[in-house]
Amino acid sequence: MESPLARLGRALHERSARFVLIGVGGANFYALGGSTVFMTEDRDLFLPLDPDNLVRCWSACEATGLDLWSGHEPLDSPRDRWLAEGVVERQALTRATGEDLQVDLTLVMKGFDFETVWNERSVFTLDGVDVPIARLQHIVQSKHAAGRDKDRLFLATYREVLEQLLRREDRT
Amino acid sequence: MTNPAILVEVLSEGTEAYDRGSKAAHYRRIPSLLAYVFVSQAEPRIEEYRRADAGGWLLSEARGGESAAIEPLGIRLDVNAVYVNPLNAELHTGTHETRPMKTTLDDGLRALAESSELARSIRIELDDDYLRAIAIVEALPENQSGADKSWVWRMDAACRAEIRKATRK
Repeated sequence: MESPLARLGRALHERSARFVLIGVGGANFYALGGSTVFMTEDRDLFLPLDPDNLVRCWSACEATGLDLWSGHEPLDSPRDRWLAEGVVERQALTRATGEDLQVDLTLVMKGFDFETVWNERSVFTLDGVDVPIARLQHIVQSKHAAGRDKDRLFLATYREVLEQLLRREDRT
Repeated sequence: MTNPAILVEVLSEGTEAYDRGSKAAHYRRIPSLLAYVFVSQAEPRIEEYRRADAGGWLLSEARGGESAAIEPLGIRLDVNAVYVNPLNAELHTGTHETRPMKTTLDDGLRALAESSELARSIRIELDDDYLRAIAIVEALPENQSGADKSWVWRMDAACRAEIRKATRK
């Protein structure tokens, strides 16, 4: 069965939307085993400051049954270029929610612009769908730049996980 | 909750076997978890299971009249204070003192504030060792573009489902 994220990825590709998975959800794709997968409820999709691209992303979310939110309110309609221009100008976040998937469509990745992250992305496959993932180094550096409590906790834990992994690699 | 560092489970007669068994086994698989704590309802007893540096888990137990160390938070809890009866009834074990509910809440809030302070005090530098470790992970054959990572979603979804089941109890 296709995972909800793969379903959304397929819809985004069908609309030629550009996106990169970042955050803990992105870092998980570099995991080497179950012990290095961090549980996370939200997936963060980093998008370029491009209203047309944002409209395509909204359309893909709707096509896969996700509800769109701006803050605590449903995203206004019509979800057209005019609305997207306002969202891009404010660099506001749109949240897409469904039963098995919550996605933040973000136009900001602390410390990085979209093109840098896009140009150095990895592309992994999920249920046969290509998913662009930010470089692990970019994800970690961005979390360091953001510096929220949860980011620091992640970075501290992740460092420990990496050290354990590499010690294990050394032994084998 | 995402990537918990500490989990506290208040045991009850009906679910203690499950809590100590498969639920605890699930906790131990959470990579971020530093410790989990069982608080008995049957008697004043707090057990802390702490992840050991060399792997495995270390048990520390404290009963009435003793203090329980919650090592990852760097705090000690007065067991009697935790078990103060909100109706101000006498405790039946240990060298207790009776304290009003408000004090217990104050203690709890103070402990939470201390935990939050600890989170804020974490300073992580992206030094050469950290960046080198990331570069090694990025360069691994299984992390090159085109790799099938379907298992990552399955693993994450299974963990989330377990957590949802556990929190419904």
